[in-house]
Order: sequence, then structure tokens, then C-alpha cells
Amino acid sequence: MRISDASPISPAGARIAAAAALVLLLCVPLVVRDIYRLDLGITVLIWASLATAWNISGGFAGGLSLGHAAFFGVGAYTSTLLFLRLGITPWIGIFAGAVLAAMLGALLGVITFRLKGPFFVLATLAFGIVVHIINVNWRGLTRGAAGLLLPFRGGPQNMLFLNLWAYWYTGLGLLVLTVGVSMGIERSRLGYYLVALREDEDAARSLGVRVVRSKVIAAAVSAALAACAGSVYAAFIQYIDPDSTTQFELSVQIALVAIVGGMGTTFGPVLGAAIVIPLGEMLRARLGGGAALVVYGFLLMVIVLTAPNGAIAGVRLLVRRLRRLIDSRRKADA
Amino acid sequence: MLEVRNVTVDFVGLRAVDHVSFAAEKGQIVGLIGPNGAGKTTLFNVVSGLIRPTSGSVVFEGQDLSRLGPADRNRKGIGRTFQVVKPFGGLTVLDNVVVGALTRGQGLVEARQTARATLQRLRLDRFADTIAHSLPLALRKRLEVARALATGPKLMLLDEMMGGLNPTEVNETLSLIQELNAEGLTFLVIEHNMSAIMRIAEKVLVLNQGAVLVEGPPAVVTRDEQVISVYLGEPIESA
Repeated sequence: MRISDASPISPAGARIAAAAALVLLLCVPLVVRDIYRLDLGITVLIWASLATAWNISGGFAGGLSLGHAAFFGVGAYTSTLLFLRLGITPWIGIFAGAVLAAMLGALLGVITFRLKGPFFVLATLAFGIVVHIINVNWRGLTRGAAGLLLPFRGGPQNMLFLNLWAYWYTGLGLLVLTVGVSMGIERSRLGYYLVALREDEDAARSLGVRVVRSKVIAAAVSAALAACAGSVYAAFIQYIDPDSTTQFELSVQIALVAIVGGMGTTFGPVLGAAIVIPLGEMLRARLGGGAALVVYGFLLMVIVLTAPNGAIAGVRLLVRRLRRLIDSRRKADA
Repeated sequence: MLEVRNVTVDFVGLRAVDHVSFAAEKGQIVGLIGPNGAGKTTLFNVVSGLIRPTSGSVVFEGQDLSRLGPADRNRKGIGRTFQVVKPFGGLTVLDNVVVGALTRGQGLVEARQTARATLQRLRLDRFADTIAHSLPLALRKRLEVARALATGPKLMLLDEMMGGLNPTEVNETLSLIQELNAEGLTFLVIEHNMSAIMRIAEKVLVLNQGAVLVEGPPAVVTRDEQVISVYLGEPIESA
């Protein structure tokens, strides 16, 4: 069966490839002993999860959000504050953050579902900025720009590990969760509704697709998963402040990772994180500061221009061609 | 089955629909004709719920639909196509139809079966795995019907299905409508192709400048002098 690059159903081959990739990822800490690389790897896992979460509302439903750092921040701060103030383990705090973010996401969904194109983008952008301003100024709760430091106490039961490999597996668990939810939605009634709404809202409504319900559910799930990524990030870095959690640049980066990889597809955002995050890191290490940003921006433009449907579309094309090649070889042999 | 009661739609500085009332009985095929800009499509949008009328109401099977949006009206049994076709371009033809089958409460597996059966009925099954935006126009129009049919409607609104079709395709479409009508589906049909509408409609409504000019059986309407002067007077062939 031929499947569109925008089809809500990933090719069966993609799931097999994903299973194979998971096995490889499980083995990474056994092979990679270099702390720097493993650290980068964990960052990629968190970003892949975050972009996957974004993609559920941004890609499937087509609502390009530039405010997702807010949900990431809600997750990071909720689990961290619950731990610091009440001694509640982040393993529980991560769910509290997810629920809080889901409610916030649903609220934003209810407010913005009518908005189209740039108006929707602006609304999410404003929302993100408001949350950031609250974060900076509500010093009594968040300590504002001073940030929150997670003291190392307790260990694994509090999602605080001595070994990087433990964070690797936590990050991998997060990725499995987000991609799992994304795959579930992709192959569900909701997935079809979201894509139909994205492709043509009036046609979808006339076929019985309920706009508000579908979009609000997508926004809530997307926000909840982004918050989970935030909680894991906080436990990993052990220090959070507004700049590293709710800043506007972060929201842009989330969308960017998903777009570079291929928005609207389950595995695109993961691929995007695997490309964009190491690229940015490498450039920073080699060139430093300003120069790195210039080259980074330039390379991203090149990527987006050469693969407007995302890197995943290129991969799909490659796989299709390889298959055709193998098929024709087989026929020639027979 | 469908009652449009005194519906008026005002756009900024323009009355698109002007106190229109009519009814369609169960099992009827009702034609809606009139020159461009007469308010036909606006009236469709009011019935299907995409536009709220300035005043007046739409009653379907005895229930006032005023508070219901397009999705809920579809779930009550109103299906429609669009004059300017609106396929879910990036999806396959099959997936387009699956969306329609899903909203009537079917699970994914069942919805796929319904979609395949519907495609077969409209002889689109060969194109099941084609991406919708790469279909030629005539087939995209048929896809509009397939998608709406998959929702299991009781009343179907067809907005200029025949435009751009060749005579064979027009005949195919007409016999499909009659076939579905024989199975109990009620139709409200906007059409410029006069000879086509005359062959199938039991009742024809002529709209002009937003208001109902004449209503009656096709044979009567085509002889009406007002209709001839505003509409039929134009060379039909070029329409």
C-alpha cells in the first residue's frame, strides 16, 4: 500500500525500524563510555520527547504552537517544587506536572481553537511569554531568575542518579512514553480527526468531526507530555531557572526540531532532535557563541529548504527507492 | 424532513439570502437553481451549519437545528459536498472516506470496511491508495460524495456535482443519485445543468437575488416567464 508522507498512518516498516532503534538505544550505555557523549545523548532523548509532544498538537492538528516551553516549564517547576517544598518524589511530581500542564493546555485549546494561521501562532506565543513573565516575577514560588537547585539527596527513589546511564534510561523511558502515545494517536480515531481538521476544517466539520473536542484533547495530551519532559530535564540538570525552561527561544527550538524532522509524522520529531541538538552542540564546541549561532541558523535554513517536508520525508523516499531497487534486482534474477 | 423557515442571511452590506422558506419531504429530490450569486451555496451553508443565519431557522426531522454546529448536524443525518471540492489532500482516497465512517461511531477496522464498500459503490476503489490531491477533478467530486455517504446521511446536499463533467459522467452521477434515492436517501441538489436537474428532481426551487422566485415541479418551473427572463433566458449550454 502506498502511503502519503502526510498520512496519519506510518508505514509498517517504520514500526519495525523503531523497534530495532529501541534495541540499539537500550545498548548505548553499554557501549558509549564517554561522559560528554552520553550527556549529549540524554539531551537528545529529552528533546526528541519534547518535539514529539509538540507534534501531537502542532503536527497532527496543524496548530503551530510557539508557546510550548510554558508546558515544559510547568512540568519542570511542578515536580521540582513538590520535591523541594513537600518532599514528594519527582516520580510522582512528574504526574502532577503533567496534569497541571494538561489543564493549562486544554484551557489554551478552548481559547484558541477558533484561531487560524498566524493568529493561532501569535496567541500561543503570547501565552508562552505570559507564563515566562509569571515565572520570572513570582519569586515567592519560583525564586524568579535565581532559579531552583535540586540538592542531591535520596537517589534513585527521587529520580536523582549518580550514574549517567540511569538518566539515559529515564530519558529513553520518556521517549518511549511520548512516541508510544503519539503512535497510539496516529492510529486512532483522534488521529484521523486531527489530520482531517488540519487538511480542511470545514470539510471535516461537515463530516461530523467535532473541532473543539478533538483540538482540546490534542492540546492537553501534548502539554502533559511536554511537562513530563520538563520534569525529567529538571532531575537531569538539577538546576532550573526561567531562562532554561520557559524562555521564548526554547519554544521556537521545540517547533524547529519537529519541523526539521518532519511535523505531522510520528518519527519525524525524533529524527529532528537527533539532527538539530548534536548539530547545535558541535557548533558551539567548535566555533563558540555568536559564530556558532550564525552557522547553526544557516544550516537549519539549508535543511528546511532542501527537505521542506522534514528529514523523515527524505528517509521515506530513500527507503522507497531502495525497495524499488531491490525489487527490480529480484525480478532481474528471476 | 427538512424545513427551512424564513431564513435570511446578511453579509456586510449584502443580503445573500432573503426570507427563504421551503421544505423537502423524505425521499424527495429537490433541485435548487438560480443564477450565480443567487444565494444557493449560502443556503447550503445555513442548512449544513457552517453559517448561522441572521434570522430564521432550519428544522430537520422535527428538531430545530439552530443551536447545532456542522459536526452535530452531520451526526443527525445531514451530509454535504462542496462546490469547490475540499478533499483532505494529503491523505489517501481511502483515508478520506474513513474519516466520514469514523464519525458515525464505527471502529477503525469497521470504518475501513465501510470506506472500501463506499468507494466500490462509487467506482473509486481503484484509487483507494491514491493521494487525494492527485486525483482529477471529476474524481475528486465523486470523492466528496463518497466521504459524505460514509457518514450514513438521511439527507444529502449536493453542490454542483455536474459542473465540469462530460455527458457520460453526468449520466453516471444521475443514475447514482436515483439509485441512492430509491434506497430512501433524500436529496437537495444545487445544479446549473438544467437538463440534468429536470430529469431527476421532483420539485425545483428557483432562487434569484437571495429570494425564492418560483417553486414547483420542473415542468411548471421551466415554463414560468419570470424564470425564463432571469435564468433560462441565458444560453444554458454555456453555463
